[in-house]
Amino acid sequence: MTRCILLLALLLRAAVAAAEPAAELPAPSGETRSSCLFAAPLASCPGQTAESSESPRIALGHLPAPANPAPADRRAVDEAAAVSPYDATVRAAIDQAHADCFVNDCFPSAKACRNCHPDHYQEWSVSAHAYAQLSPVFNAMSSKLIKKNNGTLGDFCIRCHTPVGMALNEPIVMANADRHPTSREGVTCVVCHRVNQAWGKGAGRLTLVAGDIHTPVSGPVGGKRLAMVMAHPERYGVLKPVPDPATNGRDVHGGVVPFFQLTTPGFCGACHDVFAPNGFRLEDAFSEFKASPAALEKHQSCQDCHMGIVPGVASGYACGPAALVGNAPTPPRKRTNHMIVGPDYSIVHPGIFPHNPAAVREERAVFRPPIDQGLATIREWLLFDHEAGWGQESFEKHVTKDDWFPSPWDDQTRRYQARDILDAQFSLLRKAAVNRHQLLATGYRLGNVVVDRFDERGLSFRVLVCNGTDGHGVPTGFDAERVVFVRAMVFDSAGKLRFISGDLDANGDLRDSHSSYVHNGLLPLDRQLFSLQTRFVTRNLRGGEREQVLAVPYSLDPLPFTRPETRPFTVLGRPVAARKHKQILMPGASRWADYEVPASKLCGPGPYRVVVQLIAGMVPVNLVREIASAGFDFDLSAREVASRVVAGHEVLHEQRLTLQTNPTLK
Amino acid sequence: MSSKAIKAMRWLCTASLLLCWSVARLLGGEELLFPPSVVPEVLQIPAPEAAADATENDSSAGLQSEEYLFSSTVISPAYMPPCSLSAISDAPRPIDAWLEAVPRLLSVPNKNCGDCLAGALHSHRVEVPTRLDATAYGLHPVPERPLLLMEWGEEFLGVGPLAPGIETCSGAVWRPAFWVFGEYRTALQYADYGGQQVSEWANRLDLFGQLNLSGTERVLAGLRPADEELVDGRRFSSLDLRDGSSINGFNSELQTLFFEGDFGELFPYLDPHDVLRLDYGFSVGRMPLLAQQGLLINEDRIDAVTVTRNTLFTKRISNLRMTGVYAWGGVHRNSADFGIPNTEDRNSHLLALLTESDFACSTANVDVVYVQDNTLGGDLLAFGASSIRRQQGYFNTYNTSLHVLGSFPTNGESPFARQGELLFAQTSWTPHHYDDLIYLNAFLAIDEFTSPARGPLAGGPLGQTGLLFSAPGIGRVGAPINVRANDAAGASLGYQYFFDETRQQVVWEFGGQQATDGANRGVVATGVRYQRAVGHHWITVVDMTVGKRESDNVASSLRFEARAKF
Repeated sequence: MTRCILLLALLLRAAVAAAEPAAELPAPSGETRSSCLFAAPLASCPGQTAESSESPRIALGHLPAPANPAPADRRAVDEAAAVSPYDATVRAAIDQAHADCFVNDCFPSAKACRNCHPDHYQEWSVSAHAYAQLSPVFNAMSSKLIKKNNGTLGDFCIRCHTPVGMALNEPIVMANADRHPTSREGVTCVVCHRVNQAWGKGAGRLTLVAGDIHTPVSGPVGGKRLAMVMAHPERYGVLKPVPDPATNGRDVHGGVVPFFQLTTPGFCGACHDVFAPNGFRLEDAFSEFKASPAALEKHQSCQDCHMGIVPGVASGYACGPAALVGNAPTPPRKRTNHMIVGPDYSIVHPGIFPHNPAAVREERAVFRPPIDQGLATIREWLLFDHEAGWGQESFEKHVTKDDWFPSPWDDQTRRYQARDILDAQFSLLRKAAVNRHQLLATGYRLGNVVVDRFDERGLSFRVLVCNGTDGHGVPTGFDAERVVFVRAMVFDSAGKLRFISGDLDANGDLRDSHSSYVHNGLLPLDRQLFSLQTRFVTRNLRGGEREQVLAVPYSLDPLPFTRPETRPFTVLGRPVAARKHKQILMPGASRWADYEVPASKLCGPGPYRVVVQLIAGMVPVNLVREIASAGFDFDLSAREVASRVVAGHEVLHEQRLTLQTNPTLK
Repeated sequence: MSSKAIKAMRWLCTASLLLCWSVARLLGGEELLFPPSVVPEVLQIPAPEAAADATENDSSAGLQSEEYLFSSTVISPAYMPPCSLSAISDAPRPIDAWLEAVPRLLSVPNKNCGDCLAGALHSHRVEVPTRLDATAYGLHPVPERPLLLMEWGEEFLGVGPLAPGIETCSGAVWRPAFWVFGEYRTALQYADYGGQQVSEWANRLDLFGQLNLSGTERVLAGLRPADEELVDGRRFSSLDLRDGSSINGFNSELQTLFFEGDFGELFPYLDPHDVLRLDYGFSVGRMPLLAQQGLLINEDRIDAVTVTRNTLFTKRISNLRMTGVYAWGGVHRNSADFGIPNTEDRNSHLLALLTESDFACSTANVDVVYVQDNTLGGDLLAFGASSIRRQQGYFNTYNTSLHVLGSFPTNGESPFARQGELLFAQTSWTPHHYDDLIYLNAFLAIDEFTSPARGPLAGGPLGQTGLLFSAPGIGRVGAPINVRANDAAGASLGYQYFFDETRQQVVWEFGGQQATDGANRGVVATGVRYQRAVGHHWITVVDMTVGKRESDNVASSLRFEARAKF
């Protein structure tokens, strides 16, 4: 049946394309290999059917117009909401395929787990793992790399970011609003708890055990507590560990299979030691950990610092119930924090992230659970202008009849409901931000400002930046796109800035060689910039190597092609054509940030104030520029993405020093 | 050196820079938007009352430079105060323009020539936009994943469910898959070496099969069925276009066959808690080997075992990789003498230690190789050390690498073991507004540096100097500047233009070399390469070169090559 719909969709597509050559559907020759949103594999659980077919990618990435358009734009908004016959057919095909999948419920959503594990869910919902697939930067980067590598990169990036989506054979490029809900959840519950083999360093290519909610899950210690819960229906209610329509009760997993590796660093290393088949070592956080004092001397694990009580510190674990079954907590035990804090932060609409069943309603009927609590669909949330104050009393009291709101936000009650949800979302985001700050502030140390010279020749000072953790380098993981830098400023007594290093150009980029303002000769290089960002370095046709934002060696080859390396990649530790130049601080390491301020800049009234900040961001803006041509999900422009990325920069440490005016200065 | 000579040199340098600067200006070289003298007029320092406290206030009042610097209002909580160009570090000084006069002069052809080429090719240059786009375009499609020649088991980076793995007795989990891939090259080429002519249609096929076991373990086998290895070269399946004769190079010899893995991943039971450092990478079998970007070792077939330790670090080194190599069964020996090709020496053994270290500002490679042979070649100890870094000028970033290599016979000299040193420097940069590449490479060979191991097609160690210094690797056409590291100095200057999102490229190069021992081996040459990606599998390459040897007639070559990747 699915295939029939697929064929019908393709025929209709061809007809529409012939009638409307300017349609925004991508050309078949340049598209992602199809995926079984149309074809057989989605019709059943992975493993049961592995047949695949070729068909064009679906272009469903068109999102509604910006929020609060002028009346003149209303028609445009309404038209955007309209669905063409082609889209309707394609969506019908997708819905059918997804419906087939839901019958089997191969990979239950985290929402299903939330019923008994609400605290775990809440922690996870705002985590970087939960954000992994939603990230517009990730999706655009993946697309751009695939394009640069002529499609050969395949699912290399996205396999880690949505293992469920890949197991469901979803297209690589697809609007998140159209993805399977569990796929959209990124590294969701089943990604760890439905793995039952110790895969080792496999760049995220783990096999997930498919099965509905009753399928046993993997747990660190096994199912003793589950057995105990099952043995006390009077306390926990009737539980249904097997699909039995005759039984009324709460669906639970049928068992917990002990999987010791969940507690080991090696489990994290399966995704956090990333090397491509051509030998390119994109991330080596796990390898760094294995060489660290934390592993070799203290015998600590990743989980000790990232799932413990205090983020970034091996401070032990909380103790609490693992589940809340029928409002009855299970006996307390070691309780890990599933926020698993990292350096990433969300730049998408707060109605969409953190994951919240009360916020997002599935757009497709096929995705909707029996009781859908969601207030609005993702596309509707994108129309909600929370920054303008919608739903807040201060805004709403000024709303008149003539004010126009896009549907469904034309209902004031709904706007108030949305605001209530957003308040909870912001609260959770703030909690995550505090945890992130705690983690990063622990990972980096900033010493006092040391003045070496302050005389008629100018001011010379320095500050020591240290790695505050002994578990890995800082930054680690995706260190080639992590922005950690020092901003040094000198003010005169009038508050006028006399010197700055670590400033940002108009795009929000540091003035390093990747800043387009610097590259185009509009701003000078910040030669005193202190940055810990690792650099991608690619081999040139001739002339050595150069830094590139993306590690695609197109100077060597007009058709970059990802294939297995034809020489042992362990020998060089990388392919010949590309590598990373790691500039991070390894455990125990420190580095001075040195600054020279010429006397000519110190011509204001003293005393002078030196302010030094250690700042961490998620990704550099030059990456946003480089990947922008791939397009951003959630209808974001490159400039919006950059602004939100920069808005997330946070000061980890700050040092201040006041210098009395040197009488020898002019 | 006398003070007069020093003074004269200073004047000469200054005059040269002045000349370069003036020529650059005359030729319409790129103007900086803010030459130092203009800064005060363009961007004004904010008024004192508007300059807020660094961390407490959040105001962009008085910011005159928002066109160039980020508006502080959107930065929270990492506040950046309103700042002017006069406050940012390292504002350019007049002398900086002078210091970078030569690169600016060499960047002059960037705009006009590139635009002309773009017009001729009906293509768009790869430009770097300054301001980020404020328009949202939605998601764009990506190319389809090109299929491999054969995929058995899991698809190579293909979407879809993954099969359960097989757990070995050591605890490793494998999911076997077999992939066949490679590259086919075919070329029509003509070369005239001052009377001696080559005109042929040559073919080369590199075919690989990989049995993939896990993320770290694999077995790779490779064939080159269309070109056969000889003792001192390779015979390509080709057709001589002048007399119609054909050359048969078909063979089934294994060119590559090795197993590669990670000891810790292979035996996970030995370290279940991941608190031991057992992650030794290793490989064993027949494999290619490269060191110092091919300057020291460029061997395409060697029977060896390697053991690698990666992600080592110290307080100053962020990443240190050390690899020990032992090769048995012979290596191809290189000779600094002209006329002696790289020759297989079946009795030699090779021992090497290859290292690479990342420092804060540079990457250093230090490699030591010892070849032991009591028959043909003689023993040879060779080393290579290099520093690769980006130097920041005021207006550009310069990619630099400096290599120092040396070879020392330990048991008497032979044509394959000579004493010599090689200094090799590479510089490149990317001109403003574009993604193009300008490179300037130079070498100085003192005495007779001998590379310890080089494949039959690898020629001498100086191929990295430029396209003119390296053979195409297919057929009988050689490099226009065929040079060995034998008392010589040379350089190349090249320009690589990118069009159509880098899928079309034009490379122009000028190069030459001169013997330093008084021999008349000088050569100058120039060449152009046009290469273009066609579809998702093909590349077409057109090469044209012309050169003049000091002791010979003008030599020229013209090649058309098509490559298919699969």
